[in-house]
Amino acid sequence: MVKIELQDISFRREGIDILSHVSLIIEDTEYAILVGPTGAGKTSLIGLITGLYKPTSGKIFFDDRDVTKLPPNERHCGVMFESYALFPHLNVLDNVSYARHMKENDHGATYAISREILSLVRLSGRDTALPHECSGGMQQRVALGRSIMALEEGGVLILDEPFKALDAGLRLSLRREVKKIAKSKQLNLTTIHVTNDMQEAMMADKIIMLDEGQIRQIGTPYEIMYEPMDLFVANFFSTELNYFSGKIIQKEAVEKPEFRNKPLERVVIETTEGFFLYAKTERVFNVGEEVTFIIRAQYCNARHKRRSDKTNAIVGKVLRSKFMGAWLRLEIEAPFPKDKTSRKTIKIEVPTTKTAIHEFTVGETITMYFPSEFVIVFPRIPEEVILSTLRVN
Amino acid sequence: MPDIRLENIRKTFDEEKVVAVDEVNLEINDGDFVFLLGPSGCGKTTLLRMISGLIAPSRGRIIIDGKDVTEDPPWERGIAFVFQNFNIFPISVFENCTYALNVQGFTRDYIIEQGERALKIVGLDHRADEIPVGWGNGDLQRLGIARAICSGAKILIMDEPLGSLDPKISAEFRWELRRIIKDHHLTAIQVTHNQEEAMAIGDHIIIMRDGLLLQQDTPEQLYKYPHSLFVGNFLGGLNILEAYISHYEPPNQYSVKVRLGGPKYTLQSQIHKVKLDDNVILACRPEDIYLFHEGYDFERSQMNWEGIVISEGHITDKFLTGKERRYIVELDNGDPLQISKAEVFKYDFDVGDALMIGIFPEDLRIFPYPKNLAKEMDLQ
Repeated sequence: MVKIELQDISFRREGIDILSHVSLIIEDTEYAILVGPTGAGKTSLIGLITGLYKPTSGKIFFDDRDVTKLPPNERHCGVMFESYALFPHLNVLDNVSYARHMKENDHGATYAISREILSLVRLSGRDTALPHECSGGMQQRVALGRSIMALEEGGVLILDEPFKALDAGLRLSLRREVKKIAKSKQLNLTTIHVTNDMQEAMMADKIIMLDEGQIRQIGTPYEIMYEPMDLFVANFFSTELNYFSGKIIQKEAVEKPEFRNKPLERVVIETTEGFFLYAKTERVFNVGEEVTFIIRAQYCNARHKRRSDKTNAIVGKVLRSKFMGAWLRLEIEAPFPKDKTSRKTIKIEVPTTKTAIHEFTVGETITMYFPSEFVIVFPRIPEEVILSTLRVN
Repeated sequence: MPDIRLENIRKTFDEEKVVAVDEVNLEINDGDFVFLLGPSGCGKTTLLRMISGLIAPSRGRIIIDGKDVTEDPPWERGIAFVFQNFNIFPISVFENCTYALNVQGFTRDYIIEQGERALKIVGLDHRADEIPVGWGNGDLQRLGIARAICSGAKILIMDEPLGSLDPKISAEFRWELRRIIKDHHLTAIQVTHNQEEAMAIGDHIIIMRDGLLLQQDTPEQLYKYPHSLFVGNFLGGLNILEAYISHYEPPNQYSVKVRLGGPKYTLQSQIHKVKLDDNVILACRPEDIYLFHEGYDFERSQMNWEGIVISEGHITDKFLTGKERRYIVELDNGDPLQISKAEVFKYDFDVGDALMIGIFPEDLRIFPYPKNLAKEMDLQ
């Protein structure tokens, strides 16, 4: 139950700038997710919040209390690590009780608190199990229980890449459970969850995107998905994306949708290939302005028939098709409207459910529809910047 | 060409007390990209090591390209490795790539030709003289792959090759990996703990548990027709409903009634182990469940909903993944279901909404009620 504020934090270590001018606020009881690629500075930022490191400059506040100079044990952060770090020789109850046993003599009272926490993390009745007798999911909950134990005097729950080592299916169900526990009425914790996985980040109240020691963007999942600050953020929050260059040929104001903060404009873009696409955007553009826009592979409706007369439709031929479970990944070759001998390859993903799929086989002609609210427009980005941003290195 | 065949492969440790791999038979065709999946301790790494010759099987035969190689050392099997942690030396890219050929004493011309070819395949030909220190993990693994290809091996064994990459990078790199394997007619066996990756780029997937090979199939067959609850759930999550057989019409028509007043589904199934009144599990993928607002007019819909079975419930939770919306729905009989809809799907629902839930019987799979349901559904 703590509000966290970082004011202009910079952090240098061994002559290297790890973090530069980081300012952010995490509200009381908020579930914040700190996301960014390897080397972004996520772990250092966590170290600064928990008190493991001291910033080179800037201030850290917990509830308007300056904690910049406080040691870790006076900040009451409960940290859960990727590896769980459970004591192998202690049972579930003792693992959770350990830290309090060390400082309090009344072990009976400690056990009572631990049992309450164990019921919160759905481990009631498993007191005597040893870590190696627990499944991965259970171990995770024990580790979570132990971190919560450290928070009894009100602090911050910190989850450092908690699901990194787990299989995809388990990650999905656990992350929901962890958030539920943190947000439960009994606990109502302020949580900072660190990850480099975009899907995991989508469950946040607030996403803090870090790259190369700087904040790239802070926002709700909706804001990050629909109005990414730049191509880097957009790319990080896509499985795959297609980009086009073009120019605005028309624009008009539209109603503000419920989940957006700002009014939107509807723009019509003519791409250099001669495609016409509508986009809804918070950014303001002028007619005639050169732009780059992106379409994420998963934001597409595809149909069998050739219907190029429809708005935001592109017709093309299936070049490759790969079944991926709930989704089908297609590479589509679309001839340029201006010059039919040239083709653009567009990557899309469509659901494999009965109502969505019509056996998109290689060689077949299909129509792709790109809903205008999923088309994201930026001021023109030079080709070489696009390529270096999108390059996997 | 290098087909790989395993016949009755068994591996025990500790004087037969530990059975790591139990009577595994499998065939991998030339040019196939095959994934080996299973919970930790299932025997997949042991199996991989036996194929590559790093350990010998306790029993059985390994045949590569029609030749029994069970007794052959690794270097005589035409196999190259790609590792999770790259194992790159602090020498130039070209020297890294051609290291094995140098050691084996090939002619300079041959080494240059092979090295250039391999680096070109992975797109590192213009960086041959760099020392790969401080490189990103993606580029390091490109070099790892080039080195494997450079040896001239036609079979690649890859142990979590994308495991050290950020999820975002690995999700893109896998397409490049598949393209390299396919364009250069390599046969590849990859171990991963990322089911999504295996589904996306594998031609075949082999699922193991407790030393046994449970199922080998294409991703599509495995996903749609898993032989067991464990396999189905392991590959992407299943909703399960406890039910019983309320009517049976030979040879393969079943009516299945969901417990606690749930709906009844009539479907065809090839299952032979269940009979009238037996307890069963009905399983269904999150994306194969359809949601309808109250009062939805099925008659006037453009979709063909004929045969869909409707039950009622309400939304208890909802979350985003960036690709789809996931809803948790509680059916009126208390059963929870997880449902996913693409984010481009035009209708949305909120927590608390009462709605209709539709399932086509043909999207359901019947499984005999397992001895230990929790174990079958445990993803570990």
